[in-house]
Amino acid sequence: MLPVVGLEIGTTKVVALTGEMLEDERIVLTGKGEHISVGLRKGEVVDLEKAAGCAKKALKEAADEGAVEVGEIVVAISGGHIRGQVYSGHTSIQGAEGLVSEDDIEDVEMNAESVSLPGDREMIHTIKQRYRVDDHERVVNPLNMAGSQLSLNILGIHGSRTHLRNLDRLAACFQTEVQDVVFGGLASALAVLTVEQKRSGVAVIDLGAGTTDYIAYADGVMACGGSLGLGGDHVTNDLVIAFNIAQKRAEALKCKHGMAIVESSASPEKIALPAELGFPARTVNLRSLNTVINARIDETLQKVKSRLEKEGLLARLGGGVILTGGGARMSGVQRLAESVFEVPCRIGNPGANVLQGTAVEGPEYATCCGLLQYALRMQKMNESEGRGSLFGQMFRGLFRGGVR
Amino acid sequence: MKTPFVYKLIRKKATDATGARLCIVGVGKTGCMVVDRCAADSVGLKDTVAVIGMDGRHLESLGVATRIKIGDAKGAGGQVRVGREAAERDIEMLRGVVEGCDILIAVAGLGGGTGTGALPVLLKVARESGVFAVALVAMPFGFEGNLRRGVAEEGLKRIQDRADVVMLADAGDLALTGAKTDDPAEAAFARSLSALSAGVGSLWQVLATPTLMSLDQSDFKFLATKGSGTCVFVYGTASGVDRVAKATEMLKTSPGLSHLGGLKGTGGALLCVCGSHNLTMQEVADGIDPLNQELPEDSDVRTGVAIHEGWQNRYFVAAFVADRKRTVKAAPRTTKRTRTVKRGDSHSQVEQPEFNLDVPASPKSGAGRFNRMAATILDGENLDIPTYKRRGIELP
Repeated sequence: MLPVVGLEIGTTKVVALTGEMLEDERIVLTGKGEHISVGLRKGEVVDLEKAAGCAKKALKEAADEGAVEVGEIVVAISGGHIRGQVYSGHTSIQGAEGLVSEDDIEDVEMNAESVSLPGDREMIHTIKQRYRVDDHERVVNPLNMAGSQLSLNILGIHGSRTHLRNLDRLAACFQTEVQDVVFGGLASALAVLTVEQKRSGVAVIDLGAGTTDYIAYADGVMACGGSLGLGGDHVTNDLVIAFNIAQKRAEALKCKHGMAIVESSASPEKIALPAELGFPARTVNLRSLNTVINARIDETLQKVKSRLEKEGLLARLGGGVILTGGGARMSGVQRLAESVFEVPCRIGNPGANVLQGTAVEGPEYATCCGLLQYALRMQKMNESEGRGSLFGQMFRGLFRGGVR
Repeated sequence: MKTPFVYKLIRKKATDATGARLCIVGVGKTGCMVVDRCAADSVGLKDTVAVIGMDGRHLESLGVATRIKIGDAKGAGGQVRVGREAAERDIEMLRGVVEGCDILIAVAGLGGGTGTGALPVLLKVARESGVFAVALVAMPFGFEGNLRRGVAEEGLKRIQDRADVVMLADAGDLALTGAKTDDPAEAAFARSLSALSAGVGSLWQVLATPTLMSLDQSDFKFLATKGSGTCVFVYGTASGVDRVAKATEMLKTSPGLSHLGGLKGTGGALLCVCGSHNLTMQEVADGIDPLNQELPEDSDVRTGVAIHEGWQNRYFVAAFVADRKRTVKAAPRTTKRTRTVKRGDSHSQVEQPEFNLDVPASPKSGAGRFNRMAATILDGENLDIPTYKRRGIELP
């Protein structure tokens, strides 16, 4: 099958991956490119030219390694403007003898997907949840069931039109076209989750630098998703303000010494910081450092928790919480998340589900791996005309490439 | 987040024949009065409506169960910006109002602060939640001055951008419908208000109560597809002998319709007929037929007929008429000045409301790296400020 290219333009780094699907439906990663990112804040493009320059470098690196000619790319989108919402569609069953026909299913799908959004918003994904035939809820496939009213719930994920357009323009800067846009949280979930986890209920939280994306599954269907404009940059910024140190130094301090939980060690350790241009030599109390970090990450997780709570999902996370993104590398974050959500937490490893022609290791690659999985499965689905495969059924009508 | 006083969010939701949940919300003083009046008139409506306003004392005086006070101020003071900012600050409460609804009918008078400022915010919240948003808005009286009219027109544009269907009425037109020249002003004012509340009431009657001929959400959605999504509200009402003929004539000659060039120029209409228990079949036919004959042949007409509990001998017909043209022009501005402004008296300029509706109200965060960006504000908290500071944690 054709190789695909996924591009995630994050707030601190750009990752590009190339990959393809083997005959036996396994996915193999063939190339990887990575570059530090400038021109983004909180996951949103603020300097198009700079961002495009970084993305181009990463893309070239990946294309060279994977020996791919880049024409179209699949891009991740994230940011506080993303919103997930359940919409429902209804239709009265018209099939012969009061049985649900394929036309009825099509009708209800159309009905559910035709959401009227304000002019400045655009739908990114419409993901089918479960059907309902009269009072019979959670129907997976209603075909030929008897009843009078057919309903379908979909999870619509939509974002700001401006930001979606920015991605198109960004791609145009390096002579490529956007084949598809995927919500970053959804991509991360695709990369790290198993069917079993989705069935027992699970939340994936992607702790990025600029944004925190989340997606939750319950009973095998995607129940909610969204994004907060909060991330690792906020942690760094808090340290800058708390200790009056330079941005770079705060970032280094966070990565090297930072912990998401405050350990009650008896003797508070001091970290010595040598003098730097404009900043005198000084020491930082390790406990203070961790207190600042803990407060911020705890708050971020609490915000996600309250969002899940609103949807009534907290009690349904049998599969626990999976953390991805660069923030998942922070030591102690797993324990902190466990104490916040009161369920087992794991760090997601996207490398486990794919064959690696190139080395991809660590939770920060989850989004980009997910992009590849999404694009390849979508390609597969388009080949086999959608019907039949479960993935195809779930994501039908969501491939934006053809529409734009 | 501060919640000054929310009495309770709507507990019951009225549903139409297809099970779509309906919610009627009044915004601003006029909107609140219309909805309150309407709730008092119609049995069972009281618990399914909400009012949103800034003037706490006015809200207190209303009989509606769900009363929501937005903002800290006692009123918007005619400032659109104040109304909008209050709504944006308490956006979660607005979200609570539309939550679980399928159709929202929001009522407001334009030209003031709260209705003009807060209604667009409510509509936006509704649309984001996938609620089909219908706005019934009244333009101010001509003699309220061009300034107020300008505010209203600017607000109307906002509302047209955000609502699925805009039902437009002109306070002056409503008051003048069927009026004689020597009618006292008091009666004319009262009529404007009661026409609006009867209009809302009739919509509710045909949508949400089991009735003779009911409408459902699809009938609303068809209005959105006709022309510009804006339609004009006209009505006729009468009681006693010949009530149907009188009311129909009143509707046909109403000033609101004459701005459109009569019923002939329309692309579609929603007719809501309400009568008392002694309404006869003949009367229903007599009421609707003449209107149908006037409407162009290819226009789409949906008709609902309901019996209004508690009415005696009264007959009311409301028509929501969609214009064929892309845009519906509001009634022309009044050319006569009703108040002479003395030279050098710049008082009216000083009080000019702000119109800078496009600038978002989000404050710039003053926090380090995010200095020049719009702040991340969730649940009324600026999250760009370090957490430890907001939580008041002392660093060891």
